[in-house]
Amino acid sequence: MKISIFIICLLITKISFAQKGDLFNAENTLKYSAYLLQNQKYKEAIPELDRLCTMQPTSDSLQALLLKCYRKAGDYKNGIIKGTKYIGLSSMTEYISLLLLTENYGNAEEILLQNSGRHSPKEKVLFLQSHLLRHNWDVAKTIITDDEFTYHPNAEYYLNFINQNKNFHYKKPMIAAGLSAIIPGLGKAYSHDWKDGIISFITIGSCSYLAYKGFEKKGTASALGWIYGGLAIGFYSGNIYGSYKSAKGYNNRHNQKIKHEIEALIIAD
Amino acid sequence: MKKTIILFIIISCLANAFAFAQSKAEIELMKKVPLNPELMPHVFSKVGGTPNTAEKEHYPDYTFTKQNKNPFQFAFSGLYIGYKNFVSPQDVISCAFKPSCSEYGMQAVKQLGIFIGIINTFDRLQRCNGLSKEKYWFDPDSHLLYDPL
Repeated sequence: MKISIFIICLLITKISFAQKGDLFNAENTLKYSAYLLQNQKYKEAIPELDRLCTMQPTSDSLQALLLKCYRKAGDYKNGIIKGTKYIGLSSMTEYISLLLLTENYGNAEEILLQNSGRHSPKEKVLFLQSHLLRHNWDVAKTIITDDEFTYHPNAEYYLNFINQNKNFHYKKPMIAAGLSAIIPGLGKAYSHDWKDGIISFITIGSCSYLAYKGFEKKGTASALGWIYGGLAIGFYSGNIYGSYKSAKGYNNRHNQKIKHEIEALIIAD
Repeated sequence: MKKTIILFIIISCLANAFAFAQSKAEIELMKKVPLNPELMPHVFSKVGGTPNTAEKEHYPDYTFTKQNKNPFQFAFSGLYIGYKNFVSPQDVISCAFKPSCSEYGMQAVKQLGIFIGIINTFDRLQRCNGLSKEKYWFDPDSHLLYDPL
C-alpha cells in the first residue's frame, strides 16, 4: 500500500513537471517545424511557421521559410496572399518565385526592376527565369553572358535551353489549314501528326472515290453518291479545321513544355 | 437497286431475329439463375429507387440534351438520344476518347453552333483512331484518352 501511494505521488509530480514546459512556445515550434521540413511535410509545416511568424514578426528568414513551404506544398495563391505582408529581402525572393509560378510575370518583373543594381544571385536567377517564361530569349542570353552569372552551376544548362528553344520553328495554323485544303492530311503531317494525317487522307480519299463511283454509274440520281459525297465534304472541312487546331496544339504543347521545365526548376530550388 | 433494298431488308430482319432470339434465351437463362444482390447491384437498386454508382455509369446522364435553345439543337439532341439508346448499346465501347464522339459532337453543336460544331465533330471522328496516344491525357477511371471540347 505504501509503495502504491509512493508511486502515485511520484507520477503526479512527474505530470506536473511535464506540464510546466509550454509545447507551443517559439523554441518548440521551431524544433517541430524543422522536423517537418526535414521530412518534407511542407503542408503540415505551414501552420507551425505561420504561428512562429506571428510570434516573431520581424524575422525575415522565418517569413522566407514560410513562403518556401507554400511554394513546395503547391499552395501558391495563399503564399502570395501571405507574401504581400512581408518586405524582407529573403522573403521577397520567395514571393517573386510564387508570382512566377502563378504566371504574374509583370508583377514579378516590376519588383525585380525596383531592386535592380543590388540583385542577389537568387534574384538574378529569378530574373532570368521570368524572361525565359516569357520567351525573351535575347534578354535571357545577355543575363547569362553577364560575368557574375557565368559561375552559376546551371549556366550551361540555361544557355543550351535558350539555344534549343530560340531556334524552334512554330507551326503556322493557316499554313496547316491551307496544306490540308490542297492535299487532305498534309496539314496534320506538317504539324507532326503523321498518323492522323494518314487516317484523314484515307477517309476522305475513300469517301470521295465512293461518291465518284456512285455518280459515275447513275449520275445525280445516285443516293450513294450523295451520301458519300456529303460525308467526304464533311470530313474534308473537318480535316482543314482539324489541321488548324493541330498546328495550334503543336505550338501549345511546346510552350507548355518550356513552362513546365522552368517551373520545375523554380519549385526544386 | 431493288435487289439491294430487298437484301438490306432481309439482312435487317435476320439480324433482328437473331438479336431477339438471343435476348429471349438470356431472359430464360436469367429466370433459372437465382438473383444475387451483390453480383447485380444495378438491378436491385431500381427496386430501392436510388441509383447507385454502377447504375449511374451504366445509364449515362442525358440531362444536358434537354437544354436546347433552337430547333437545330433540339434535332441534334434527338439524334444523340436515339443513337445512345438504340445504336451505341449494340456494340462494345469502341470510341478511344472521353467524352465519346457522340457526346463531343453534341457538346460542340451546343457550344460552338451548328456549322463549327459539325466540322469539329468530323475532325474528332477522324482523330478517333487511338494511334496518337501521346497527344492526350489518359483518364484512369475510364481507361480512355481525355479530349474535352
